[in-house]
Parts: sequence; structure tokens; C-alpha cells
Amino acid sequence: MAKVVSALVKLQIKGGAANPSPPVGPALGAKGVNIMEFCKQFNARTQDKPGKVLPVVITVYADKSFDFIIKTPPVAIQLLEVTKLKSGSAESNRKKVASVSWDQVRTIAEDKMPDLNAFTIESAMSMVAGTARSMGITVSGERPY
Amino acid sequence: MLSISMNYLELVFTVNDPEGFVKDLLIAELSEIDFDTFEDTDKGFKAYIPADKFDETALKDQLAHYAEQFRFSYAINEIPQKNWNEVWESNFEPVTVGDKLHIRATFHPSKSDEFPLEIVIDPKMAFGTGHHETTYLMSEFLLQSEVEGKKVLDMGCGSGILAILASKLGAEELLAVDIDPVCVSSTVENAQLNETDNITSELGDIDEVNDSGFDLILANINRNILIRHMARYAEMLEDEGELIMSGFYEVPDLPIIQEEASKYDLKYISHYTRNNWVAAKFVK
Repeated sequence: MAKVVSALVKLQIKGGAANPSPPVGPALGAKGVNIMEFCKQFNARTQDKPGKVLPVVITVYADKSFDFIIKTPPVAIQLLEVTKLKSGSAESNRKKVASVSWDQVRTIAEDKMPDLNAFTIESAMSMVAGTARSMGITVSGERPY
Repeated sequence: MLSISMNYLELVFTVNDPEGFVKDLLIAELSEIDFDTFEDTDKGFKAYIPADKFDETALKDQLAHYAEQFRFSYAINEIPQKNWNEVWESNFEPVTVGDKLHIRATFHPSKSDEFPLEIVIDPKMAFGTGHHETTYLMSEFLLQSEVEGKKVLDMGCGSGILAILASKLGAEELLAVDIDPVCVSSTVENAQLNETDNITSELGDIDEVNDSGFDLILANINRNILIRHMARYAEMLEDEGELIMSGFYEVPDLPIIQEEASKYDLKYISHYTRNNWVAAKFVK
């Protein structure tokens, strides 16, 4: 029989850095979950992405057990990372001169496909490119579709 | 070593975000200035930072670029440190490891007549109650090891449970170390609860441990930290000394740990698994 869900908790936590402070502590602790166990598991599962902000959806069940899904980082964060790598310079520069290629847009779109509300890779790429422009990041080159 | 003991600030952000990405941008910016965790809300998000790391000028600088383009505001609340885990800690079940060890809380009846070994733990937001696979596996290893008369280091001691078990198994001298002050005081309290008087509890990371010549090192932490500590573990062990590590998975982590250990001539002996979690033993 399916377990009864008592709460869904949506957080964004840095990889390898979950700790029992707020908001993890109060959000899970009040439901009777063993927070220490959540932190140990989250940190072990995100060892390869230390310091990256990762969205996580935690399902807490009526019997105080839990499970959770870790998603890939949001599009905006992935775009920032790509531009940072590219300019490799001070922060102020990064924001003024940032641009990404369509290949980079595709890479992010492929990574985020499962989480985006898109049916085709092209529509996912359009969403990523739209986010980039709104952020002041230029998408350089010919649109490949 | 799982716990950070300090007051936190909660910044409640209200974001005008029709397209849904402004929130992510702000979170990305905040993550670069010591904000460590975020919670989604209907009107924006909440961002969390240890109170002593908060710098409002740095925050305004970091967000200045977006303040021109987007509409958002925030309010600051302070959240005092407390034991967030107390609901779970107030009614957890005791744990038994094989037929030898019973781990219970102060509020459970003693079963010292049924089990040769009994440990009492009052966790207070420190890791290590025997419920987690890694603590269980480390305990299993300890129960099968020759501990009598040994000098033991418990690195990342949490509640102190492993040091206490090693002491009960006859270890002569024990050093329990953690980077978290909550764990250090928890270890002291739990050592008293269990009437073990040969455990020294110290605050710090591996580089702050000056002692060496250990016959046995216990480290239930995580893969990345174990890798970072490995060279020191090898230095601190006596020849023929044993290193038992946990806090990582069989797949994909165990081969990575084994490779790192081999760089320092630590020989892999064996490992136990439980739900993909591993405890592994190496010898110098």
C-alpha cells in the first residue's frame, strides 16, 4: 500500500553542505524526521557537486520516513556558471560582457529537459535562451533551428 | 560532524517574477556570499545564512545589478539556535547490533541483562545513534576488531558513540574530535552517561590534531573529507594500525576511497554494506 504523504518540502541546498540548521532543521524536524539522517544522505549523494545550489524536493510520510529527489541546478544558475567560466574575470565584467553560444544553450537545455515544461529540445533551448537574454546575457551566433 | 551550532538569519524575499527566473538569479547571487540554503515560497523565497557571516553591504552590492532591472524586497528575521531534531530524538526506537550491542536513549528501559554491551545516547542534534547504516556498520566492525589496550582516534565523532563503544571494548586511550562544538559537548555528556572515563573530546579539523601513534582510527564522515584526510590518517597510524572508514556508498565511492588509500600504502582488508552504504577497513 502506498505510504501517506504528510508534507512536501522544496529547498535548494548547496551540494555536500546540508546541515541541520534552518530551514532544513525546522522544516523536517517539526515533522518528526531525523534531520541528521537526511543531511548524511543528501551530502553523500551530492559529493560530486560541492557548493553547487541544488533544488531538492523532500517527501515526508506520515510514519516520519522520507525520500527526496535532487534536481539539476536551475537554468539561471547554469547560465551564470557558463559565463563565469568564459570571462574568467572579475564579477562586474562577467555581467557586462557575458555571452553564451547556442551549443552551451543546448547543453543546458538537455540537462534541464526533465524539469522544464518543454516537449522538444528546441522549445527547451528557446526557454534557456529567453532566460539568458532577460539576464542580460547575449546568445551569440545563428539560431540553429 | 553533522551539525552547525549558531544562530541563523532568514531573509524573506518577495519577488516580482512573472517569468520565474528572477528568483533563481537572486539565489545564485546569494549562494556566492555565504547563504547556504533556500526555501521556495509562493511569493518568492527565503534565504538562510549563519548570523555571523551576514554582511548587509555585501548583500546590497551583490544584488545591485538586479535591483535596477527587477522588483524585489526582503525582510530579515533572526532564528535562534535550538535543537531542531528534538521531536525525533524524543521518541526514537532503540537499536540492536547483532546479539551483542543494545543502543538506547535515556528514556528507554535498560536491557543490560540481555546484551553484553549497552550504550546510552542522548543525541542533542549530534550524529550517531546507531540508526544510520554507517553507524551500524562501524559498530559491527568494532565488535569484531581487536580493540583491547589500543589507542584510538574517532575523527568526526558526532555523538561520541563509536569512541564510547571502543572504550567499552577495552581501548586504553581515546581521542574524539569534531569540527562542531555541539558534537564535542555531546561526546563529553554521552561519555559520562556511559561511565567511560578515558575519552578526550576535542574541537577541530584533522590538522589541529597533534597526537599520533594511533592503533586504530575510526572515521565516519563522507567521501570528500575522507579523501582530504587520508594522508594524515596514514601518518597518524602506528605500523599495522587499522583505519575503519564510513559515510560513503559502495557505488560509486568505494573504489575511489580504495584508490586514495593505496596512495599512502593503506591496504584494503574488507568492507560491509547496508543499503549501499559502506564501512571499509584498511591496514597500514
